[in-house]
Amino acid sequence: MRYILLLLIAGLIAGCSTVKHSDELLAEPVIYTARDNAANFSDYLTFYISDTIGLVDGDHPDDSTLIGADSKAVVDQIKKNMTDRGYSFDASLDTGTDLGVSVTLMRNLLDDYYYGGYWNYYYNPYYYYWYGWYGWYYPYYYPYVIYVPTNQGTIIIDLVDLKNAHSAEKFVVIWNAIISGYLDANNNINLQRAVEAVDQSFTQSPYLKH
Amino acid sequence: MKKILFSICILASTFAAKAQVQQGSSIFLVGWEIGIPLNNDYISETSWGGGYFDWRKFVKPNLSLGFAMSFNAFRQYVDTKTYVSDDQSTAVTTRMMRYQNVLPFMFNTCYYFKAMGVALPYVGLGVGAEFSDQWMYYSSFTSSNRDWGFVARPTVGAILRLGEDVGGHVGVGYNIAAIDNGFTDQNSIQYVYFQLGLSFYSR
Repeated sequence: MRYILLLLIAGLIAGCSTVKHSDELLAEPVIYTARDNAANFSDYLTFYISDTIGLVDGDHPDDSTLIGADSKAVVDQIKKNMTDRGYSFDASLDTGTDLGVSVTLMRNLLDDYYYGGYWNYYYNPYYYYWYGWYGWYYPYYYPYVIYVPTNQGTIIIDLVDLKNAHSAEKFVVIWNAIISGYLDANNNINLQRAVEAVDQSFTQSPYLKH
Repeated sequence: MKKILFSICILASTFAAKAQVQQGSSIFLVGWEIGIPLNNDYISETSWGGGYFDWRKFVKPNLSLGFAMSFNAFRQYVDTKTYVSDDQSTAVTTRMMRYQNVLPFMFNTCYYFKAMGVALPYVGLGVGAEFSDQWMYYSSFTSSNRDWGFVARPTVGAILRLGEDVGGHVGVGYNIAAIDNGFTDQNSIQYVYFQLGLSFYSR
């Protein structure tokens, strides 16, 4: 009987084996990508991307862009991946540019966001950006539902179809990457992690090529 | 040494006569259960944190009917991996913790063989419903799924009568429940379980 009791106690201890706690996982990056199934990515050749990153920051609601070395490093990495996939960077955004790449950083927000169909463009500083250049007043359109968990900070990369925007009368986001978990303890960008996440978002999207 | 062996033989023969249970009496079993997954698309690691409760009424000296429940807590850390949707339109790369708690509730019947020393061996079958709660943590995301399904648990084991009203219990069995995983193509929960516990007699 004594041995059975000892074995039962041993079992209870074994049952309490350590696991990776969810708090630790909060710091882990998650890279989500989605595509418009109707889009043919080889139909596009040129793309434009700004040197700045759009910013939606709950602690600094008046700031709408992020500039500096971190911003440039993320943008350069996206530019490199796009070029590696056969697209040409068009430094002079004009009506002949096929794709617009918008990058938005969302942080310090209390609520998560679900998007689908027509996006609430007030949260995207680039809505006005494309509008400013094109003079069109078209909304962003996601052909799929995306989920943005803003409490951990999120980088959103949108690949916008400018080539067909006029005929479609909307800015269709034909590819989208949502990168979460790239902030450090001070809520700043962990640059190494962000750059790796950008690379991973392209790696898991093999269809994204000219 | 001879004295010790002689004492053990006397003790075993004393309880051997009592290992057989009388008709009308009942046994309550409680103890520790280990689960080893057999279909492991979702979780392949052994659950060391399980338990069981089992009450049996002897309708004949060699046959019991009763009710049992058990639980197992499966969990597994999965390192960075890319998951792609069936239509290839979406993909997600992440590390995650996977959890699955299972609770089968069953009516069972057991057939008992002739007592062997202090051991009363048996074969049995439990059928009922199993509840499964499974979820995954990845970064700030949580995906969860809960479901019920039919469960069957064939088992073999032995009740060990080590005292007048109390003893031990060992068992091994196979759990199969018709429950969709929800996260993978896995449409059943299957695992082998091992039980080690105590038995309590009442007349």
